[in-house]
Amino acid sequence: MIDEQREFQIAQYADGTLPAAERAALEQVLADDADARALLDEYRRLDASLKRELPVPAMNWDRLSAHLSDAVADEDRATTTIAWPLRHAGKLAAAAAIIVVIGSIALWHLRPATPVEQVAVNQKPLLTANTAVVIVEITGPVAQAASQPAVAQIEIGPSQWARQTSFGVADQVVYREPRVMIASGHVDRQDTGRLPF
Amino acid sequence: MESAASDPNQEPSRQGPTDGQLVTKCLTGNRKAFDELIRRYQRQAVAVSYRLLGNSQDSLEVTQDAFLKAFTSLDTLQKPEAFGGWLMRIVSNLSLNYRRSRKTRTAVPLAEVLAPQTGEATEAHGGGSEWMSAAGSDPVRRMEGKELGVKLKEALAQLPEKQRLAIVMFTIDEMPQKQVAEALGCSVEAVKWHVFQGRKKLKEILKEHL
Repeated sequence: MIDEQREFQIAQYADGTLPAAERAALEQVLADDADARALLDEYRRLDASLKRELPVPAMNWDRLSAHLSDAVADEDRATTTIAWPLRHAGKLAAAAAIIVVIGSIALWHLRPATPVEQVAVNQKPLLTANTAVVIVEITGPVAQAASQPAVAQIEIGPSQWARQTSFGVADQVVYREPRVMIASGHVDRQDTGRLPF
Repeated sequence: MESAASDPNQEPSRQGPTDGQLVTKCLTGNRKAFDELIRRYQRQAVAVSYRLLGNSQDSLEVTQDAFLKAFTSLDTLQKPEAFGGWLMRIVSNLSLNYRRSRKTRTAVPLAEVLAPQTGEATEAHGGGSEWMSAAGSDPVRRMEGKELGVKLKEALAQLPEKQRLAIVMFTIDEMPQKQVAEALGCSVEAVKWHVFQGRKKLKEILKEHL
C-alpha cells in the first residue's frame, strides 16, 4: 500500500518536479517496490494521454498574430480617439467657464440703460376696532414689446397714511418678511396669500 | 530510473527583449512591442482556452479578447516580467466566463486562421467541437483515440476549477509552474498540489481507459 505522500513524490517524479534532494531516495524505492513502479507507470500513461489526445488545432500562427495585432491596433486607435477629449475635458470646461463669466460681465456692463417707471399704488386701509389691514395694489409697469429688458422697481415700506395713523400694526406690515409675487398677465393682486397676522 | 526532461520551474529561454522590457516599451507608446508579446503567447493562449472550451472558434474569440484586455489594462500589471502568467489568468477567466456572456462581436475569420501545418495536429478544420486526435491512419486506433479524447474531456470537466486549470496549464501545455502559479494566483507549492490531486482524480475516473 502506497501512502499519499509517497504517491505525491511519484507523481512529481513523473513530471520532473521532484526536488533533487528527494529523487535518489525515491529511485531506491522504485527499484525495490513493484507497486511504486506500477503507479509511476500509471502517471506517465495519464500524462502522455493528456498531451496526445487533447491537441491544439492546427493554426496558421502567422495569420493569427497578424489578426490579433490588427485588432489591438484598432483598439488602440479607438482608445486614443476617445481619450483625447477626455484628457482635455478639464481644460475645455475651465476655458468655457471663463468665457461665460467674462461674457456675462461684459453684457452686464454694456446693457442699455433701463428707464425706471413709476407704478401706481392703491392703498385700501381696512379698519376695525382691533385690527388694521392695508391691502396694497400695485399696477404697472405695463408690459411692452420686448425691445429691451423691463425692470420693475418695487419699494416696500410704511405708507404715509400708516405713519400718520400711528397704528402699531403698521410696523408688523413693514417688518414682516415681504412676499412679493411678480407676475404678468391678469393677476391683479399681489401678496394676498396671507394676511400679516 | 530516469526523470522527466527539463526543469518545469524555469521560464523558457528566449532571445531578444524580456517580457518586462516589452511591457515597459508598450507603456511608453510602442505598440509594436505588444505585437512581439502576441507572437510569444498566442499559442499558449489558444491552447489554454481551447482546452477549457473544447472549441476552436470560441478559443480564438477568447484569445482575441484576452489580448485586447491585456493591452488596454497593461498599466495595471504590477510586475511586467510576469506578463505571461497574468495573460493566462485573463485567458482562463475569460474562458470560464465565456458561456455566460455570448457575444455579438465579429468573429475571428477562422477560415483564414485555421490551416493545417506540417508536424502539428490536424484535426480541427472548420471549427466545432474537436477533442479527437489524429491517431494515424489506422481507423481502429483513430476510434480509440477519439473515445479516449472524449473520456479525458469529460473527466477534466469533473475536476474542481483550480485542479483543471493547473493540469491544463502545467501538465498539458507545459507552462512553467511559476507562471501557472501567477495565473492561478497561488504559490508554486499549491500548483504542485492542485496538479497532483487533479491527476489522481483523473487516474481514478479513467482507470478503465488508460
